[in-house]
Amino acid sequence: MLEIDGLQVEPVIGLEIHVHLRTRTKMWCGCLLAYGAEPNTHVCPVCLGLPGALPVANAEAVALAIRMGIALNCRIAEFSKWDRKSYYYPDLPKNYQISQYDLPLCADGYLEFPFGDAIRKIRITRAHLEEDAGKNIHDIPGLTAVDLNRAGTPLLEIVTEPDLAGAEETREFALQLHRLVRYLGVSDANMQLGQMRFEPNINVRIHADGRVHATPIVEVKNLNSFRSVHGAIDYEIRRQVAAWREDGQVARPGNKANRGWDDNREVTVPQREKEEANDYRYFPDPDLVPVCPDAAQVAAWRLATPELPIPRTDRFISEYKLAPREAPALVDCKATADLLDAAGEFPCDKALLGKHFLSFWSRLANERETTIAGLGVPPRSFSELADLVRDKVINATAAAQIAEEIVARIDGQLGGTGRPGDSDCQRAIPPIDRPEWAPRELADQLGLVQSQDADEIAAWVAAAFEANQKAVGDALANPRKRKAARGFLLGAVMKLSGGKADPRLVGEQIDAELSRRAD
Amino acid sequence: MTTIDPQQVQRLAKLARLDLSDDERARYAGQLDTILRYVEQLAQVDTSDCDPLAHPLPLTDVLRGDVPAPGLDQQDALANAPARHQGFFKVPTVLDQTGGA
Amino acid sequence: MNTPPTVLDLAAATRAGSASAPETCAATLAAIQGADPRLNAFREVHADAAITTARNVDRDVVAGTASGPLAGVPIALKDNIVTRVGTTSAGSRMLAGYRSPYDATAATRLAEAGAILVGKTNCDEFAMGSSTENCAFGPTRNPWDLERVPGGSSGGAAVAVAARLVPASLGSDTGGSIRQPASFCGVVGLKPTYGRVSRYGLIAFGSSLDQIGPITTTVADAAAVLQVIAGHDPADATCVREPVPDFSAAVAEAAGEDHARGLRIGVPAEYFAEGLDPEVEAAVRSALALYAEHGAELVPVTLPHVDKAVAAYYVIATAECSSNLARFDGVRFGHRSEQGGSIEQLVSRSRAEGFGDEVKRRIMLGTFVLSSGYYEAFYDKALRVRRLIQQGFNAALERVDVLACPTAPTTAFRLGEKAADPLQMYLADICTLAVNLAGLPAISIPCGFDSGGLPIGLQLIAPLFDEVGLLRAAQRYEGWTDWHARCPDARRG
Repeated sequence: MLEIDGLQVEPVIGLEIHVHLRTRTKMWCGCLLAYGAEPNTHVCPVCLGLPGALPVANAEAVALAIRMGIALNCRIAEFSKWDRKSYYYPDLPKNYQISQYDLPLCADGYLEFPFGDAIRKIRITRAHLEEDAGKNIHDIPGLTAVDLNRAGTPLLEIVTEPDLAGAEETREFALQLHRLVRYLGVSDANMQLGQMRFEPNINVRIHADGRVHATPIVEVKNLNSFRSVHGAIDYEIRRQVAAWREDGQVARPGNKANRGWDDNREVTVPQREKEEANDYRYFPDPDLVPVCPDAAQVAAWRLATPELPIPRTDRFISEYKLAPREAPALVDCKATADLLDAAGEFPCDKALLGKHFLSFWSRLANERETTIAGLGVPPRSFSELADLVRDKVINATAAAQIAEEIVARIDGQLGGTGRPGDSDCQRAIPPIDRPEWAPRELADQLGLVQSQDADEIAAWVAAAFEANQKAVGDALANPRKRKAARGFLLGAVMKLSGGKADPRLVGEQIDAELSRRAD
Repeated sequence: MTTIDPQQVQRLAKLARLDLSDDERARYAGQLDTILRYVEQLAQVDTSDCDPLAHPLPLTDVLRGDVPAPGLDQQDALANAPARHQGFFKVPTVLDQTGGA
Repeated sequence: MNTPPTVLDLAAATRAGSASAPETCAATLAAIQGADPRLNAFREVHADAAITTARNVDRDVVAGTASGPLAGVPIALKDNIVTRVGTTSAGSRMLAGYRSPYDATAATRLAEAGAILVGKTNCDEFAMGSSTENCAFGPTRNPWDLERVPGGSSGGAAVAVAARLVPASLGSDTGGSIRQPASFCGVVGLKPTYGRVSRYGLIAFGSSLDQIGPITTTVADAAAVLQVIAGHDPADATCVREPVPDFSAAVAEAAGEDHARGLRIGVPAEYFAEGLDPEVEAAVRSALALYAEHGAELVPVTLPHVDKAVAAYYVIATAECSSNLARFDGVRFGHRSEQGGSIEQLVSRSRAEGFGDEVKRRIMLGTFVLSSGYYEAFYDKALRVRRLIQQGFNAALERVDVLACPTAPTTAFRLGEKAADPLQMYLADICTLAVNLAGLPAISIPCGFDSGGLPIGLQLIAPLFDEVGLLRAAQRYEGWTDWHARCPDARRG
């Protein structure tokens, strides 16, 4: 419940989400999915709607839809069919869209996510498969240009119950869903490419005069950023309260309206309604036959459903001692999360392992515009490196150096190609495993094994004190500079040792020497 | 009993994108009304115990693998278009800007 | 050529080198050129492509590699089957000049079998009609009486065969569009089981009803052509994986039997009801008597609710067509109005100008039965009645091997006779369209002539996927009679 201008206001929001599925080819034909290609170059008789052409459903799209349905706790239909939805639009080649009307593949599910201190549970009404339309290009004066490359792209439409209670919550839900489709490999969900689009249905229940007044429902069309989802809902709530004050209009059948979002002005604007929007004349598509998902196959997919991002995040926080804010970075790229778990299978210090993933391994991946799973490092190398640090065979600086060396050697092997992009959260490359590239080997080869030898360390400390008289003086004489000066000396010793000295032992010796001199 | 009058015909013509003349509207209203009178005999059949049959064969699950197949090049795709513009199909300016399905 | 060769003869002679494909082709083109100005069976003749194909066949024959079952056989395609060669217009102004960038599967298979595709035959616009009068390119005339219709919608295809211009053609049958013109023209017309032949490349009218099939002069030729076009096509989700039996072998076997013992023929009372022309009834009854004489058992059967088939059909077929024809909007292909206007006006004007009267009427009816508030009472109701009709056929066909009845209640009517009354025209299909609702295979074979010298057709109907039983039953009758061998003299002019 919000308070707006002294009124108790309860927003009621349902969300429709359109997601492009991560198939190679279109929903009904073998054209490759295209983003940014020359117009009308990824088309064929089927997706152009030419006379005599017939659709055949893409099995992978059906599989992805069902796998998503399982992750959303949906009931998977035993019998599902295709229906035609009729409306005329130049970007819709057949002038009907093949969709699913009364028997969607997935129905009656929910998604739970943490929001504030609570767990929110949003019910999923349905998730069904359909095809995307092409694009009408409006920026050429005096005409509309039609590009049908996108026509027939497999689209999963997910519809929620009106369970969302605010702009922030809806944005969070949208983010969680975005995370989930990417994690499952159901969609690349690139917002810039329009691979995921949101359409919230918004109205508010105003509590006034001891009664509840529900404002007319507004559907905001085609939002393609989380910011616009938040902005549009936030704006609509205020606008609807103001409109109600003005005209007292309440929701009734037939007065639902569509609005668009003006990203520049950050307002919603009334939209010219599509003609005959209320009479789509749905009927079963006679060119296609029903889909009856095989129960054994669905059960297998159910079993194969991976640990989902939200529970996995919780586990990573406790198992790898990650900070709650940092954990999603390792979870959301599923291939990397799987790699972390694979590395964690070897007995090692998991907290150090997690720390390494977040620090130098991430940096090495970023430098190569790939993911950690795209580096090609064998799982055992991650844990071995963590163990070397834990056992003080090497220090943290040396660990980063060794990691860099491993990746550089793999670079040489790969010749700089074959790595997944940094937004590909599904693909890992096969690790390149050479005994001579094992961390312990490299620690020796690079001379990075930490020195535990007290005499050797004492010699470095003496040399450092000799060379840095001022710092020694500061440390002894000036209590305010003591800490900084000690740190400076420690760094000097480490430098002299070539990174090999055990910093803990060095610190002890520096302290001992300082107190000896102070006496 | 359902009747089809010229007004109903106009509603249907708009849905079906047919720009009919007054003459056609009047004629179709009469003809469609006659046909509907005839079709209404379907109501005499008791169908309470049977499901609709949209398709003569009980086929299910005819799917294709997610395998690319060659399509048309741009020139062939546009070859039959009444109007084109630089690789696009050309139509009069569309006011409604809601793209997508 | 007093007795023009059949498909089988011609293919065998071509492969053996005793008939020359280029000569056959030239003769065919000449025959079309001679007769077609009066008949208007062809919408377009693809002379150059046909000659090229014929030369290629000839080259293969010389090289000893010509093995196609239809080698050197000229075949015409109904104008709603798309080909890259020439244009495909579905008899509509909407598609005048339309060049398909791909070939229909059935056309590809014919070509691969060595057939020479000679051109496109006239039809009712988008296959909607029973007379081949609803055409943007003029009506086709019945070779038995040029003042009469050839039936429809595959009228041109039936006339091309009846006038012996080609030994075979492909038509499409949504409610009788192969069988009824075959009956009116005195030739053999086969509608295969729904799903037997790929619809890929057939310009859709009613997708759950449409089926491509052959029109020929003999049952054996129908079997030979079906053999080539039948079978699974991954491009059509409704085209089944069912194995394709050897139809030709089955027909050859039946041709060797001089009896019909063991054959049970169901005679549905509903198809011998009022409205049936007495001369048609008499011819069909004598055909049945001939079967009985040869040992077949005639079994009276009933087909519950089949009297509602016309009503159910015109709801379902028009609903599907209203949607199937939505793509003809003048954006990517087809007629575009010169009047311009907004996008909505442009599309509405293009469609109003491009479509003929009957097509518009059916689109309107189909739009109505699917529209909000009427779907349940009309479309959904019709689908339920459809199930009852199918169940009725299935029950009858459990007791008998085939059903026999007239193909059409009358012989060919006069041009223009029914044009003013759509409902009367629809009722002319009363004997054929229930078969499409049920998806069954059916054939029309010549079984006599009326007193005016017009052909009469006998329709046989078989269980789903039993084209073998259907063709065998038809072949037996053909073997005892010579109706199929009679041809009109229109060819000689």
